[in-house]
Order: sequence, then C-alpha cells, then structure tokens
Amino acid sequence: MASGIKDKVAILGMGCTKFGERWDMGGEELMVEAFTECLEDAGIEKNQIQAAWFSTCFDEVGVGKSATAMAVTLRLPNIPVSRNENFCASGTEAFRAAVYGVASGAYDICLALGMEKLKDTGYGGLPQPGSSFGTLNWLWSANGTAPGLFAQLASAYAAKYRISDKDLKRAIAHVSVKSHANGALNPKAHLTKPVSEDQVLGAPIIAYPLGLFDCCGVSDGSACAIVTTPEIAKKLGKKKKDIITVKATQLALSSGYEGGFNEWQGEHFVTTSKCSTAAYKEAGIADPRKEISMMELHDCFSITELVTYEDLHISDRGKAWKDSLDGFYDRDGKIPAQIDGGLKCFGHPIGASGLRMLYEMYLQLHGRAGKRQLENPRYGLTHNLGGVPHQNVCAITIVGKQGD
Amino acid sequence: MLSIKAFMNTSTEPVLNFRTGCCGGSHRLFDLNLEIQVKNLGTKPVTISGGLELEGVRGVKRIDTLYPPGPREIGPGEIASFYCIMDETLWSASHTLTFVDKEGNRYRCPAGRG
Repeated sequence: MASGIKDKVAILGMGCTKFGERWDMGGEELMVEAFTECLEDAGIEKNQIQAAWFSTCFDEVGVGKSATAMAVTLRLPNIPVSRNENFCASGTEAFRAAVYGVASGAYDICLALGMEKLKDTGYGGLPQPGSSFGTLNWLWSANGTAPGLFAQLASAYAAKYRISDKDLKRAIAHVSVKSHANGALNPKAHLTKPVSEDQVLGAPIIAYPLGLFDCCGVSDGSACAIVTTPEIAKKLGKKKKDIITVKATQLALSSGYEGGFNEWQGEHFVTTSKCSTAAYKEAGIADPRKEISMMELHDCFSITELVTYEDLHISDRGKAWKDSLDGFYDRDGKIPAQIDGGLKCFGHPIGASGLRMLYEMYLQLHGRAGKRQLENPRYGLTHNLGGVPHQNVCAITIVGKQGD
Repeated sequence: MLSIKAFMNTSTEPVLNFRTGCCGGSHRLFDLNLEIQVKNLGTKPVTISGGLELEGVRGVKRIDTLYPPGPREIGPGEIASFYCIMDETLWSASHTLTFVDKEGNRYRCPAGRG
C-alpha cells in the first residue's frame, strides 16, 4: 500500500536567479547563478549530488536537447542527469523526479534545476511550436493562442456563474494589482512597480476580457533545489526546526474529457481540482481554506489564478471573484497568493517557473523572505500548470516544516 | 463627461515593453512613458479622437502617435488608457493636455508643470 511522500524528503537548499530579459547572460550562465546559490545554501559539495533532473521546455531556442547542457555547464561528475519537459509544469516535474529519487532510496542527494532562455528568440512570446507540436494538437487547438484560449475560460466562468463583465474585470484586475504590489517588494522580480486598478482596467485588451495586465510574458531565468532525506539533512547540520519537507507532490493530466467539450463547460480546470484533492490527501490536509498558509499559483493569466482558487477547493464554486475583491488572497489576507509577485512580475521562463514558486515557499518557511515575509506560515502550496484549459498538465506541491 | 489623468514615467511602460509581442507577435512597444487614463463619468458613450493637444510655453503641439491608435468609444463608467513616447523636456514645458470628442467637446487635465 503506497504511503505517499509526506515528510520523506527534505529541501536542503535552493537558488534562483533574477528573472527578466537577461541579455547579460546565456542559458548556461543562468544555470550557474541559480546552482551556485543553491549549493551554498545546501552547504554541500557538488560531488555529493548523486543524480539530477533538468527542466527546460523549448530546447529548439534554448540550450538544445537532452540533459547534457546542464551536466556539462555545472561540470556534474558523470552522474545520471535527465531532462524533463511537460509544458509549463516542467519545473515541478524536475523537482518531483528528484524527490522520488531520494524517496525511493536510490539516492541520498538529488538536484532539480529548471532554466529557460526565451527572450533571445527575436520576439517576446512563445516560439512557434512548428513540428514539435505533434500532429494531432493542430486539430485540437486550431488557430488557438494562449490568450485566446484562456479568454474563453473567463467567458465560460462568467457565463456559468452569471457574473457581469464589470464584476469579472474588477476581480481579475484585483488579481493583478495584488501580484504587482507583492512583486514591488521582490528584488528578483522583473517588474517591480506597483500598479493601480485603473491602470489595469484601462490597459489595452489582448483577448477579451483579458487585458495587458491579465497576461504574463515569457522570460529568462533559472531556479533549482537540492533535496535529501530529513535524516541526512540533520547529519549535515540542519536543525530540526529548519528542515523543510515535502508534504505532497502530485500531478494530473487531462484525459481528453475536456477536449471533447461534451460535458465540460470550459469554466474550470478538471486537472487542478483532482490534483489538489490528491495533494491534500497526501499531506493530511482536511480543510485547505483553514490550513494552507500561502500559495504560488500559475497566474499565466489572471483568470487562471481566479479559477484556480476554486479548483484548489479554497473558494466555493462561483465565489472566487468575491474572495478576490474581498482581499482574501492579498498579502495581508487569509491565504496570500503570489507573495513573490508571481508570473505577472517574474515573467515565465517555462522550465524554471515551478522551481521559482517553490523557492518563495522555501524562503517564507525559513523566515528569509525579507519585506515579503509572512507571519509564521505553516503550509505553502505551489500550483504549476502547463498547456491550455482543455488540455493541460497540473502539478501541485505542498511543503512545510518537518513534523508539522 | 470625461475625467482625464496623465502619468509621466508610468509603471505601465516596462509592462508594455516586456509583454507586447507575445504569442507570435512580431513587434514590441518600447519607451511609452506617458500614460493618459480617460474615464467616462457620464451616462452616454463618448468617442474621442486618437490624438491629443499639449499646450505649454512652446505653444500647442498636436500628438497623433498614441497607442492604441484611432478613435475610441468609451462607455459609461469605462476607463481607457492611451500611451505615447513623451519627451521629458516637452512635457515639463507643458501645462495642459486636451482630448477632443467627436462632437467637439474639449476635456483637459494638467500636464508637466500644470
């Protein structure tokens, strides 16, 4: 009988670069920057790492296929290194693999590193998928763009719950205002200026009802984690109160149910709903609205974050927009979301974002989040979504102090 | 009735710079440092032209390089923002910014030293 991952694996150290248009560095240098911080934080030597996982999505415009780019860049001593790619959830996939590597007993210490370098591709957006998109996806998402497909999520959500355009726009505007206020406190974010509700509401529409501030941009950046067992962490000198453990790490992928559009109404993420249920069960969380202290969600679009409040079973169905406007997810609210500024302020280097989210939870649990520090957080949740509403990958991780 | 507010060195500038051109777009919008928020406080839609007048010690300068371009209808209670590249010297030498609607009504707000 499987017993889950709870408290079997500890995060020994983490590192994260400043995100943004990093013209000053190539992908390799970004990896080195994140890894150097992580290694120092972990307090170990590089040769103590026994296996590693590398997440990068767009190898065509990045550092190429396979994991050799990371193995060579970090001069890893001929250990197993694998590359993970699972759309925008790639970063959490690398983390999950490293965690399972330790939990299985196969390795004592593992590394997960995510990196993406997208701003050198000649334009600001996702590279054209071309033949790497497969053969059937063109049929599932003909002429689809990310803003267009997520805008449909917003329209479906508003239609199902009879929410007026004005209320929906204000609710998703608040999502962005809140995240930019948080990002203004984070020196590693790219966009560090607060914005007002009027700025968000007046900004040009990208795909109605999503405007400029409702959409995140792709970016450059790298983040990483070194994991081990709690026992080894203790032997390496970490005090029990300083050991952050993984309470749950779950993954759910679309089955094709949504894409058939027969029953699914397009207003929520089936995967997130199921993945979060499994994660709470694994972590032993009965009431997430009361027990989760903070979250980093995949706010690729403001509506994604809003709908996710409900799919995480924290806001009631059809009520997330009210919780947003009531400040429930603000930094001084009950469950602060995007405390580091989220994808809105960091941008989205695909392979790195999941680990960047975990980095903030890790800093917060250690009391090292500077001006953003929350008071006594207990459980931190990350939600890393890849794909589009009708066909996606959802990765959820919950972390907290050992034994808590 | 329109309410107009102008923000020099707006925090939207780096966002426009960073996010434009996503998802296959081929151009980006750099250096749009002036943001003008136009809010319709009335009960009827108002259509304004895609340009503004900047009045100051150098006289009146017409600026037609706003983004988004073209006339824009703003519904009751709605807010629409326009952006442009504004020279710091010109801005500080100006005192009034004016939009004109299609019926010839003029709506002003302070600019630069105004």
